[in-house]
Amino acid sequence: MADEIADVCLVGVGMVGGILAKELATAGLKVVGFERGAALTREDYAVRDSIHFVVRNALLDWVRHEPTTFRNSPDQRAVLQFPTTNALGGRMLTWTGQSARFSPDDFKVFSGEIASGVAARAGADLAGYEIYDWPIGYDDLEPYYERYEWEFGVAGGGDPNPFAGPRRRGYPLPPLRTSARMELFEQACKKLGYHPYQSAAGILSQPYRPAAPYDSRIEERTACAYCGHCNFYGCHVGAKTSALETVIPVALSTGNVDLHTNSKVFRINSDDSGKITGVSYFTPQREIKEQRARVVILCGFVFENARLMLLSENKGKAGLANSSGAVGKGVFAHADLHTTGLFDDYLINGFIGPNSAAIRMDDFNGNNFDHTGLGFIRGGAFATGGDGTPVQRYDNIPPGIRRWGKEYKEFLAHAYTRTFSISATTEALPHSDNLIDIDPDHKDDWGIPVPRVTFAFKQNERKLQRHFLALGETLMRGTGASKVWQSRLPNFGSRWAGGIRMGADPKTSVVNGYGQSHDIDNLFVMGASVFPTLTGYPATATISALAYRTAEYIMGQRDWFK
Amino acid sequence: MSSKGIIGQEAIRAYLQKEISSEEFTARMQKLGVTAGAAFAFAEKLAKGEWSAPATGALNLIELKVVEAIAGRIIPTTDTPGAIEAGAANYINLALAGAYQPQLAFYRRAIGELERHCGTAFGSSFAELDVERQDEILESLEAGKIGAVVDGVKFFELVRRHVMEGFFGEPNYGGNRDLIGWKLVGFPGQRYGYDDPYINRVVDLPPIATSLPPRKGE
Repeated sequence: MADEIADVCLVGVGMVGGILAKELATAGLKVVGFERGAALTREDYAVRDSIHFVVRNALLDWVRHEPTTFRNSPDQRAVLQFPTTNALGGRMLTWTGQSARFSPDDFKVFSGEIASGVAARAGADLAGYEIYDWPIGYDDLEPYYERYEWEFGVAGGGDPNPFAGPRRRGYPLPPLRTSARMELFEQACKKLGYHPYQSAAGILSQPYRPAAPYDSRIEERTACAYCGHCNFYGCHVGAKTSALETVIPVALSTGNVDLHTNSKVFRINSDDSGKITGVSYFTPQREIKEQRARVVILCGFVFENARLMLLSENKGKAGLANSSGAVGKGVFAHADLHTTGLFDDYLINGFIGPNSAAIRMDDFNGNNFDHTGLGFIRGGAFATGGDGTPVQRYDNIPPGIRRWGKEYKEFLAHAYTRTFSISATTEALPHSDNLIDIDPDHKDDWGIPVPRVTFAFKQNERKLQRHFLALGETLMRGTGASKVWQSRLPNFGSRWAGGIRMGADPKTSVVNGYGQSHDIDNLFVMGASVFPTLTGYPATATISALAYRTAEYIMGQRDWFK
Repeated sequence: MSSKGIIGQEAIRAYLQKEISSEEFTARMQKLGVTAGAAFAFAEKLAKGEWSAPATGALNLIELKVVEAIAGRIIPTTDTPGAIEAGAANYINLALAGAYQPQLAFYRRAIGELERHCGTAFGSSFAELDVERQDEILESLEAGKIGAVVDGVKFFELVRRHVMEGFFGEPNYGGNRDLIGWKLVGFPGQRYGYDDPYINRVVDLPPIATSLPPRKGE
C-alpha cells in the first residue's frame, strides 16, 4: 500500500490504534498502522520470570532506545527516565487491569467546582492552573464505555459504587474472587462509614467471548488463574485484557489493515494549504519512507503524541495544529500514595493475584466530599494493592528497620505473607508550568530529539496529597494492622495525561470532542493526551470509549474517503 | 550453573534428548503453566541456541570473595540459609558478564578502593575480617563515610540491590539456589495459579520455578 493513499494512517497500534483499526477496517476503510515496537506473541511472555520482566524490564525497555527526559523545573537539567511498553498492543500487555469509568462530575471540573464556588469555599489557591471543562460529558461516552467493557471483557458489578454514573447495562462478567486484603479493607471502610465496592477489572473471571450486538469475531479467552504476575508481565493464560488478544487480530482479519511493526513514524507531513498528507517513517531497516493518507490519527503515548506534533512543520512553521499554543501544555499525572500495614496474626498472602481484584472506595474521589476549608479541590481514589513477587517487595519496609542484616532478614521472613497496601491514586490538575517540549540535549537511536517533560506537583496537589496520607493512615489503622507505614510524597507522577487538550474553544484547546484538530480537519489525536482534567479513576476505560466514539464519527464522514 | 530444581528446563532438556515423548513434555510443561505451543517454542529456541546459559563470571576470585562477603552481611546466615548459600554472589558474577556488563568497571574500581581501605586500616581483605568489623565498614559505606571509596554510597546501594535480586530472583540466573530466598519468605514461586484465595491460611505448597535459561546477553 506504500504508494497508494491510505484512507487512515494510525501512528501507534496499542489499545487505541487497535480499536480504531478494527472499527475502521471493518467499515471498509483502508488502514495503515505503524507500531514502533515488535509484534510479540504469548510465547514471548508465558514464563513468569521476575528478573527478566520486572528487574530488567523486558517489556518496558524502550527507554534504552527512545528515552523521555524529566525535570521538576526549568532550572534543572532533564534526566533520562521513564520506561514504557512499546509493542503491538501497547501498555495493555503489561498493565494491571484496573478498569473504571470516570464519574459524571469528572468531565466538568471548571463549571462544577470553580464557577460554582466549590473552590472558593474550599479556600483553594488555583493560581497558575489552566482548568477547562471537557467538551463532552459522561452521557456522550456511556454507550462507548459499554462497547469497551463487553468487547474487551471487564469483570465487575459486585456491590455498586454509589458515586458512579448511570449505566445502561451491567458488566459482562462477575467480579473476580475476593482476597484477604479485600476483606480487611472492606470491613475497615464500612466501620468508618464509607462506601467500599469491588473494583471492575479488565481481567476475565470466567471464560468469555463477546456475543452480538458486540463484536463476536473476538475469540474466546480463558479465566484468570490468580497467579499474581500482572504488572510488568504479560498474562500467561490470556485472561488479562489486551488489545493484542482481542481487537488487533480482528482488525488484521479484515484484510483492510496494512500493519508495519518495528516501524517508527517521526514526522507528520502536510501540503501548502496546511492539510495533512501523510507521515514519514523509518522501516525496520531504518530506511526513511513516506506513507500518504487521507486522515492521520496519533494513537501513541502522551509524550510521543506531543513530541510528533512539536517536531512536525505546518505551513512553514514549527509545530502542528498549534494555533492555540497549547500543544504540550498542561501535562499531568496521578500521585500514588501507598500505606502499608503489617498483620502479625493474619496471613494476607498478597502474592496471590491479581492486584486489580481490589476493593475501591470513592468517598474522597473528585467532588464526592465536602471540600469546605480544606484548601484544595478534587481528590483521589483508595484501593487495595500490594501483590508482587519478592523482588518487587523487598524495599517496602517500615522506618526504623535497617535495610540489611539479621533484623532485615527476619522482617522479610515474617512480613512477606503478612502485609498489604492501600493505594491512594490522587489527582493533579493541569498547571501552566507543567509541559512537554523537545529536549535540546538528547536524541534517540534514530537521531530524533526526544520529548522532555517538566513537571512538579503544585500547591493544590501537595495539600490534597497530605490530606490523603492522613486518610490512608486512618483507613489502614481501621483494618487492625499492627504496624503502619507510608510512602513519601512523590516528585513525579504515574499514569500521564494531557498535553493536547480537547475543548470547545479553539483558542484554549487543540482538538475537539472527537480528538479532531481545530486547525486541521484530517488530523486526530487520541489517548490520554486529550484529557483536559483527570480524576482518581484509572484512564483505560475512558481512553477506549473515546476511541470507539471517534471511530464512529470518522465512519460517518464518507465524503472524506471518496 | 546448576539446572537442578528448574523443572521447566529439565523437561525441555529431556524432550530435546528424546528421553520423554512430546505428550509427556507438554503435559509436564502445562503443569507449570506453560501452554503446549509455548513449550515447543521454548524447546526450539533452546535447541537453536537462542537462549544460552550465562557465560563464566566476570570477577576475579578476590573480587568475588568480597562480593560474597558483602552478600553475607546483607542477608546473613542465621538459623536459616542466607545470601551466601543462595549464591547471590554467583548471580552478580554472571550478571556482570552479561546484562550488567556496563557496571563491571564500577564494581572493579569500588571493590579495589574498598580493599585498599581495608588493607590500610585493618591489614586485611574485607572478606577476611570478622563479621562485626564487616558490618561496621558497611554501615560507614552506606552512610558515605569511607572517603577512600569514591561513590561509596552508590556502590553500597548497587550491591545491595543486586544481592536482593540474587537472593529472590529465578535460580536460572545463578542465585536463589534451592529456592532459598522464596522458602525464607513463603513465596510459592511461579505457580500456574491458586485454586483457593488462602485467606488467613498458610499456603502449604512447595515453591516451584518454571523459568528457562536467561535470554542471550542476560
